[in-house]
Amino acid sequence: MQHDQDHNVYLEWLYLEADGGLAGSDRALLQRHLLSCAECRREREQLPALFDLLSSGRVEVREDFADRVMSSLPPAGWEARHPRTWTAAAAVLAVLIGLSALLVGLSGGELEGVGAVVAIAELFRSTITAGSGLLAASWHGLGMAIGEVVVGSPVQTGVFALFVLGVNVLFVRLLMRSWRRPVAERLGRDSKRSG
Amino acid sequence: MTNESPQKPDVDLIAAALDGDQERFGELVRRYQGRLVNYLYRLLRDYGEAHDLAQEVFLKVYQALDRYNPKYKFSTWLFRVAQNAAIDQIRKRRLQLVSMDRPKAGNEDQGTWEFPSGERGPYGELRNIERGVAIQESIERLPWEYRELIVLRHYGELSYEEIATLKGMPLGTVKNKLFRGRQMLKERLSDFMTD
Repeated sequence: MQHDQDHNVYLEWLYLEADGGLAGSDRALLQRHLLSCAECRREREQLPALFDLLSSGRVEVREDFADRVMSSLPPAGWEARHPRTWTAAAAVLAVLIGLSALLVGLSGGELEGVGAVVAIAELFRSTITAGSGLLAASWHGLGMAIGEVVVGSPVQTGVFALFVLGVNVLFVRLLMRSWRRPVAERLGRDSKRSG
Repeated sequence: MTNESPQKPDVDLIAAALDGDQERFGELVRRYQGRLVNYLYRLLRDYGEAHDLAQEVFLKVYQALDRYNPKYKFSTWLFRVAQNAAIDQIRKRRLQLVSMDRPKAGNEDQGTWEFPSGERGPYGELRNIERGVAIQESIERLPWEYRELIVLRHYGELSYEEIATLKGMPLGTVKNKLFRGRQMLKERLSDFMTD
């Protein structure tokens, strides 16, 4: 019984050996077993033919395959998801400043110069405070916009809605930048560590 | 001894591709195209379809390149995507009620068998074709659990460890299933192992 069990283990090892996957220490044990097992010796002689036969069944890849793959690559989606420059964030910020200036202007106040800048900064601060989180800011902004429909002009309401939306877009982009360091950088570091 | 410079690690090629050097992704394609096409060909049994699906797999991988986790080998990830794509394709075929027993009718493009045998002339060619068909049929008749491991090892050329990671199996189970699968193949292909 014990012999059969061992024999089956050695049989499995023979296949591993033929495939280059048998550890050195096991190889020595296998050699010892082979001295006393004619069946395993026969099996061992046949295995190279089986492995050759299997690898002979490979097909050739079309010559132009790699070129076809490369010419059909779409613009990389990840490039847009993880921008490596601040251009987009800066553009969104510029639009927001424009929108907030417009809001201050539309409010009918008499602010000029430093006062206007302070008002714009206050607008940013109050939006950030009101949001206290991306989703909260959206819903709060929506609520405020709805309130404006009742008391303000439609133009003012639309501009305010755009403002809230813009702040959220800016937040999302900035958070994505800080949460996910550029992948290429990460891979570079990891590869150096493992190398 | 060759003058070839050592291959760049996959992870370096990915990092370079993510930095905008698309040609490095081309290197990855050329590095894996043979193994991937052969793997898919053995599962789908259609030379053209294997190429089309391999192309799709490379495109999917390219689009998700920024999500690659360097903790795992690139080959493991690539073959996981390929495996899912192949299973989807097989499901689609079943839905279309296409017979799984024979290659598609009218498909002349079945690739080239690469047999190292020195046999020439009509008899040799016939023998080569018979051998190719026998290998294919023997693999197809294997239970799926053995078949996919045999194909991953002998045509995808993944290591035992890579297969274990890909399939989420203990290494010992992978070795044992490969052993059983190979034993079945040996029995079925015995006529061709004496050539």
